Amino acid sequence: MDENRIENNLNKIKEQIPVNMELKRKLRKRFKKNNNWIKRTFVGMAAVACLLTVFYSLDIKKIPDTIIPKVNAADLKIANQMSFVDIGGGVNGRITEYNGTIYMPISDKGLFEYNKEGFKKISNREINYVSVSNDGDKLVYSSNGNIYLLDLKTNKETVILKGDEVSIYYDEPSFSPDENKIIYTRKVISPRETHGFDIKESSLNEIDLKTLKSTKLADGSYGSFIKGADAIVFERDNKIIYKDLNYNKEKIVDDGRFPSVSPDGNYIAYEKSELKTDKIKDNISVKESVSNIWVTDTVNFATKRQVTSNISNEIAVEDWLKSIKPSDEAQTFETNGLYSYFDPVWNSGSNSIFVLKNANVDTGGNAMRLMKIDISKEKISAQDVVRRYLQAFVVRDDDFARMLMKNPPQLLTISNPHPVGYTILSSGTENGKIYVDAELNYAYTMESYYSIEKSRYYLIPNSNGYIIDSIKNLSKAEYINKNGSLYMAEGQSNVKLFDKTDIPKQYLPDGDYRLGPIAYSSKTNTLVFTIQNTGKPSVKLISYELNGKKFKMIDSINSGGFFELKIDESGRYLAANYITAQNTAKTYVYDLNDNKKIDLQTLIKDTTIQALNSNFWDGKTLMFNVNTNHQYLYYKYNPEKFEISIP
Amino acid sequence: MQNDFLDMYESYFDDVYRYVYFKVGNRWDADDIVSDIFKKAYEKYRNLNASPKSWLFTIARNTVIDFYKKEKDIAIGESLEQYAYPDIFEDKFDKEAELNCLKKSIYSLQKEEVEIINLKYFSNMTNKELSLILNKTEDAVKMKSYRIVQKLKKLVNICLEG
Repeated sequence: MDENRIENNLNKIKEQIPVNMELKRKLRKRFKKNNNWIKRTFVGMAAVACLLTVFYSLDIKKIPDTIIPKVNAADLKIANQMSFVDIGGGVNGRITEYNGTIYMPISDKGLFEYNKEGFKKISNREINYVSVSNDGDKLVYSSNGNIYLLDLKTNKETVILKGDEVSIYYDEPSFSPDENKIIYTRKVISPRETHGFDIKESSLNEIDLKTLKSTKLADGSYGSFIKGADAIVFERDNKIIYKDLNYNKEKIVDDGRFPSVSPDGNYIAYEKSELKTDKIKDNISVKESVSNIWVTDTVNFATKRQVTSNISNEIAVEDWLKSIKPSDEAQTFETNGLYSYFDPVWNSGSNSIFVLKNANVDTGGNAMRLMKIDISKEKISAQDVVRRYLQAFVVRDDDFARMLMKNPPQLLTISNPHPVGYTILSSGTENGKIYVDAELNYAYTMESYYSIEKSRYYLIPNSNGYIIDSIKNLSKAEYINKNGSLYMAEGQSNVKLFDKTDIPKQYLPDGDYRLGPIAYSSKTNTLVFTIQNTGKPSVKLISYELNGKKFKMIDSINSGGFFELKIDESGRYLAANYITAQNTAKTYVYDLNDNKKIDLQTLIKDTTIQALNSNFWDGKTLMFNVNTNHQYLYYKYNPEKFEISIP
Repeated sequence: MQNDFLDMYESYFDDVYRYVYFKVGNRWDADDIVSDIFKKAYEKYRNLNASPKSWLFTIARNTVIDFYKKEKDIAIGESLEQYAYPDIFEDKFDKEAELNCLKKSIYSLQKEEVEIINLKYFSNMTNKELSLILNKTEDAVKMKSYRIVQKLKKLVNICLEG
């Protein structure tokens, strides 16, 4: 490398050092406005904060919550990622979120409000794109080429822009930070001869909600205003573009699609696909487009952070390589990564990103899921890394699980028995290496089987906090029914816990019966089991305390059966998945200390529930899902407070 | 006078900001210091009779020193150098090996050499402007810069070889 190249590279590095253009603009404005500004008192660390407060008091009514962002995008940490909605068939629109309520358009069904209260329809319209105002009081959305405003307090809907339903369509609306304007895309389309259409023009415009006057801002789509700046961010030709509206100047932020600006104005999230070409042989090659979500600063875009961890779809490539026949012709396989990501959207607190994620290799059917990425400014502790890894493992967020591992396997596969809970046991150091011990519980649906695997997770520090370096299995205990007797098997030892003839007679049903699902708590050394009457839908739920060898009846129901049990980390709460005589799945949560139970369906209001199933215990929090006619929505239940929330 | 000042502000704000940001390593301190620099420049602009950029950067360097003395509670006589130039690139996802090696190599230089890189390459200063604020001849600055680039070249090559 010669000196010129060093100098050229130094210039490239220069471009990566951020300049706060917002500060530049504000200071300039002040110099222009008031020569006496310099006589004002502002000293020390608070100087800029005070200064900008003065500026903001002159410019806009509200003082912004965060005047100076504290962390560059590259320094942001990933605190958690979790898929929490399995989306059924049909194309779904872009979502929006305000303070724990997600507004979710569902194809052919309308717009739904998803929060701790339930999943409630608020509009019948077929909505393509929805955005919430900064105060959470209004929604703006596009439907069939028109743009509507919905006042959530009065439920009054107003048409803002009406397309001609032939060639002019209005789409992708969102509010300006002061809520006086809406930025939107105007599309001019022309139908093709057979089917589909071409977009002839796509321009970004703003409409003043008081005067209803529209102004063109740029050519492109997917526009957003930026809080605290006279600028917009949008997409054009697979590029993310920033435009300073004062100077009418555009700057390319990065390659990518679907830009979303955080409500605090500090960051842009977007999707970027990187194309890799792998030449296997002279005439055989694989082209792969690997999608990921990125975050960059709105100030000069100097730092970037990749917040998802997609990988190559090696299974599809291997399958193709096996299937091809020798040929002199050039053969190319085009594929995507393991996942495809779409439409990142920030939450109202600017600390989480919602993103649609499609698993390109999936056996489960519902491949599209809504995932939440929690962003933190603090490094993540070793215990939290293991907890989040176990959660990702259970939920099958392979991308996130891989992000937490130094040497991840290609795919984390889960089969029956499937994980139903995990507990962090302890942490410490071994030969100077940090470790966390944790327990992972597995169960078979409908079977008398429960197992507890203890593992030691060794961690090493990294820029996010810690990463799992290796995993050592410590022990595995299995609780199994053999011919009506329950055994505990660990290594070579096989201990009979009790025989069904040991069960007090008054607990046994009349007629034939069999042992059903079981669960075990190592914390209380208690086994919970079920006795199902084989002749009729009647079931008993019984606990057996191993130290005192005591049986205790927990519940007796005469109209269905349990098909899965799982106990929380304290051993106090039991989640029991239950199927009614009418074939409806529901979940009871029992407090084993005082024999109380709650039907989780009773906590969800205004919602058509087809089925409700508990998924797993995240320590003391139960994750469960609600099937609302093709969508599977996750909820969290806190049994100590009888409260539910969305993840 | 005000228009002249605004011209200077427009011309050099980005250079000053990068200089300060690279030196202090974070945006909130950089915002604070840069505001202070231009406030001082505005106050003193009437007295300007030298090269505007050298003059502005002399204020910038002194303001950074004042910042460290005040905020970091540095004792008199203690070297300020140890407080400057934290690695701002450590968490970057840069796929270009050369650039990554160059970034690492910059932090292997002596602080005085990093300062020259910062002024010359990140703040766009000419050798002449540099000579004025470093109190050296233009030739001496040119020679010093050349040696630093040579040193970087060696460090980058070692880094690339792995």
